[in-house]
Amino acid sequence: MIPLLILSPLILLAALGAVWKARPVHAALLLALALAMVAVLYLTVGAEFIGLVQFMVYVGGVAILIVFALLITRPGDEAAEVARRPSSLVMGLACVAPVLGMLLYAISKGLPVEAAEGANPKLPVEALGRELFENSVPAVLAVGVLLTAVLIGAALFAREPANKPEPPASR
Amino acid sequence: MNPLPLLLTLSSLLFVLGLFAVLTRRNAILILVGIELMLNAANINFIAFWRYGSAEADLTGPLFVLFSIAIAAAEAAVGLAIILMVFRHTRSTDLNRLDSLHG
Amino acid sequence: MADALIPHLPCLLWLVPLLPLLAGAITAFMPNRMGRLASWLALGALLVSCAIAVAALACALAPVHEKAFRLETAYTWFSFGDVALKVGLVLDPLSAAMGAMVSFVAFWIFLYSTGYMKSEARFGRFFCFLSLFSGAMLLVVYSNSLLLLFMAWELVGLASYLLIGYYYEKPSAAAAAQKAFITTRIGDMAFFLGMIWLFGQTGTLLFFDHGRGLLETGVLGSLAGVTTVGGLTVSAAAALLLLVGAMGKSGQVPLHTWLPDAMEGPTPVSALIHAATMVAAGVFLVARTHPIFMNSGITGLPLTATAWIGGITALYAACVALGQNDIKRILAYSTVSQLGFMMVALGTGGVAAAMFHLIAHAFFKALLFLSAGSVIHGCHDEQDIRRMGGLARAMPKTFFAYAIGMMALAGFPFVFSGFWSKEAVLHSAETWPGGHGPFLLAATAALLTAFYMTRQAMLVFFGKPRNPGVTHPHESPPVILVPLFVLAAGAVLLALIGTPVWPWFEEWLKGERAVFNGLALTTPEALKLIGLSLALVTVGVTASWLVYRNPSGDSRAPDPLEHKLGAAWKFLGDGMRFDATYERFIIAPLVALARVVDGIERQLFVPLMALAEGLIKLVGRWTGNADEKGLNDGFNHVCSSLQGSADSASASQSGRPQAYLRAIGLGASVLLILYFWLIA
Repeated sequence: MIPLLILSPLILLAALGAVWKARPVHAALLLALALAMVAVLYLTVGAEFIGLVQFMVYVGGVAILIVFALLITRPGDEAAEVARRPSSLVMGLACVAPVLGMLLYAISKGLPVEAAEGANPKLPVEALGRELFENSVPAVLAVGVLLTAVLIGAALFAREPANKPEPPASR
Repeated sequence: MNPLPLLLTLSSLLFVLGLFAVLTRRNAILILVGIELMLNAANINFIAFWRYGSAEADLTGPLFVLFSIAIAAAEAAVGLAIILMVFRHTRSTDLNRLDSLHG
Repeated sequence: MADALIPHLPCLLWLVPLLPLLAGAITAFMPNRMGRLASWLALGALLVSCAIAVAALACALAPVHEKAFRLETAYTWFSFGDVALKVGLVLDPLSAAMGAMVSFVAFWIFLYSTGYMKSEARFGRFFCFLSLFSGAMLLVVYSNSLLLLFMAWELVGLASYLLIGYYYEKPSAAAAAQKAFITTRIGDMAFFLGMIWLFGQTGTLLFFDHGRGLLETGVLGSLAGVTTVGGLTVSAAAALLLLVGAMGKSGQVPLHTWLPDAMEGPTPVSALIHAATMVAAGVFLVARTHPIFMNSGITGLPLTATAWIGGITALYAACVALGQNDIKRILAYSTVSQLGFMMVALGTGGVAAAMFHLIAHAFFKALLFLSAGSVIHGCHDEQDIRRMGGLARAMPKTFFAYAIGMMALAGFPFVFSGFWSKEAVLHSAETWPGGHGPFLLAATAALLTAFYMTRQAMLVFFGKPRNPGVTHPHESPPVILVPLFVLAAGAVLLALIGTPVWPWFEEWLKGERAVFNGLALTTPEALKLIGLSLALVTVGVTASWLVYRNPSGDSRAPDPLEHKLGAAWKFLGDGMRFDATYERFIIAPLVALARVVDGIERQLFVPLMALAEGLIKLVGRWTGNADEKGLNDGFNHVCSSLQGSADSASASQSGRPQAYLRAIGLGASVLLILYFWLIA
């Protein structure tokens, strides 16, 4: 419980920074931090495998991807966004406030008063593997196909166009 | 005390932050950041319910999270690839510039 | 031979009028350059008609039983319910004689025309009209139905109009044609009324219909038995109306004014129509319907009227003829006068006398006109007798023919038919129980006839030539002269059948055999009349010769009679101012009325029409504007406002994904809130 109480605000702060900061690189790195802390959370609650997967894929893959994309596109400071912040803040809050309200309301309404104490499950990797490859093989295969398609597609998207203009005259 | 409400509140706030980013940010890549936050919020929800929810030792929670992570990664890759292609055409990542479907 | 022919007569008789009508119809469609062919066609048709008519005459002459020969046909032409209109032909002595005369004289005049008219441009058209006329006239003669007679009568009038106005480029000719048609139309209206009255009263218009015809005793008795207006019987009233019709066609006073003007037509036309045949149609009508005239009640008004009108006409026209200077107008007035004679004979009961005079007159009047034509032709279209003279030496053959005609007309004794026919008329007038008025009028007219004919002869043929500007008058070619001689022969030969010694014609008409009575001439009445006739002729000719014995050589010198008669001379020359009177009292008021009506039209109706037009245009303009502004602009406005609202509506489609996402987010949250609130 204690670790959770420490971690939660930290995650939220990191996420807030990721959402709020003007400089894109800062936002991206704060996202990486937030994702890392979520992985720690998973480890704390006993889903070790999931936490490690979270580290590898999200922090080591997605966050790096985002940083690379930022390096390629080199967006400038979002100065315009800074100037527009009051209006975008109001607009955004107006749109998300209902959602938040609903979620909190749902949480408050649907919870049992006492915790179900007996739930302290373990996550044996072998059981998980067996579950994956014996009972959800189609899903695994589908994900595999999906990842293959994504790989090919992304590679296709990212390559240079065929008729690239000639570099400036021989120097 | 039951940690479940805490975790659920955490995931709710995280989700809302991600939604805020999606609705407000002008840079397409930073919108992707918001999307990842939302996905993570959902994952936290799953794990919370697996750990502190019902008494069953059910592996459905983690299983789902596994798939969710995989798909999120794939989607991030594709999304970024598309953003890069658009960037090549328009030399900008500003989403407001992509309004050729306006009425 | 007659017996062999008689069964075929009903069919052959139809050919007599139909052949010339057919020739007329065919030539109507022939172009002008086929004029000679047209003339041959007309001549040929008429020749065949003449042959049939003469053959019919021969059949009619054959003695049949003890009564007059009559062959009648009748066909139903129209029937309305139980009323039937019938037409047909009749061959009896009257129609046989008249038909043979008409076709014979017409044939020789046709032949004459081929020479006389040969330089005309519309040669073919002339023969077309002539054929039309001949066919119609023959139909008048042979008709057994008053209806058919009337229709043919109208056709004859039409042909007369066409022929008088033949030189239609001359306004005087066109006016004369119109005058002839309108004046005879007045008579025709009366004829029509009489015809309808007879039909209404008796239900039949056939003359002879096996005892049921108009001229047969049964019907005549019924007509005489019914009294109508003014105490007249129906037959008297109808007879009077028919008489008016005859007056129009035969130029009796006061409907005579068209005849002198009709001389505008070519000379053959004057000869055929206005001397020999058409004008005789009126006389023929009265002769044909004479039984109606006779059986018209106690007063005998129709016959009295006929006799008096005839007498007045005869004297009037003879007087006026004295003062004329145009060779054809003298002859025209002479015709009017002779027609008056015929009417006198009809009125006093001498139908045979009238018909004999008609036939004889046809021959010698046609002869006179044709020789006048020869004179005109020879003098290069000069018609004023003051400018002629001495033509007896220059044109001897024409003079010979003319002389025979003139002597017949004047009534030179014994050898000429005119003497006997006039004597018969005078005899009939003298023995009339209704008074001696017509007799005196006719006798005076006979005197004047001799006078003016001698005047004409003296001024045209005797004396020194007075024609300035005309070089040698020359004699005419044979095609013109031969008809003259034929007609002259007829004028003489007819004398044979009319003398009282052998009253063949009169007896034949009545249906009796003629008895040669050599002593007929020696009865006191006969001698008295012959003496009277001789006296009239002698006095007339001598007086005229004395006056005109030495005509001056100057064509512009006044007539010797002029200073004897003074103002009366001009009065006579103007036809006793009948034309001027009609002009003043009938025509001028009508013209004024026409002008008033025209004024009303112009001042009232034309502005009204303009007003209506303006209103309609105004309404049109309003609706046009309403359409333009109201409809079109309204429509445009609706369209543009629709477009505006569409533009406004499409502003929400910004194309920016975030805007869409925000909208989706809001919408979804609203829905979920609603869901939780209402349900959960």
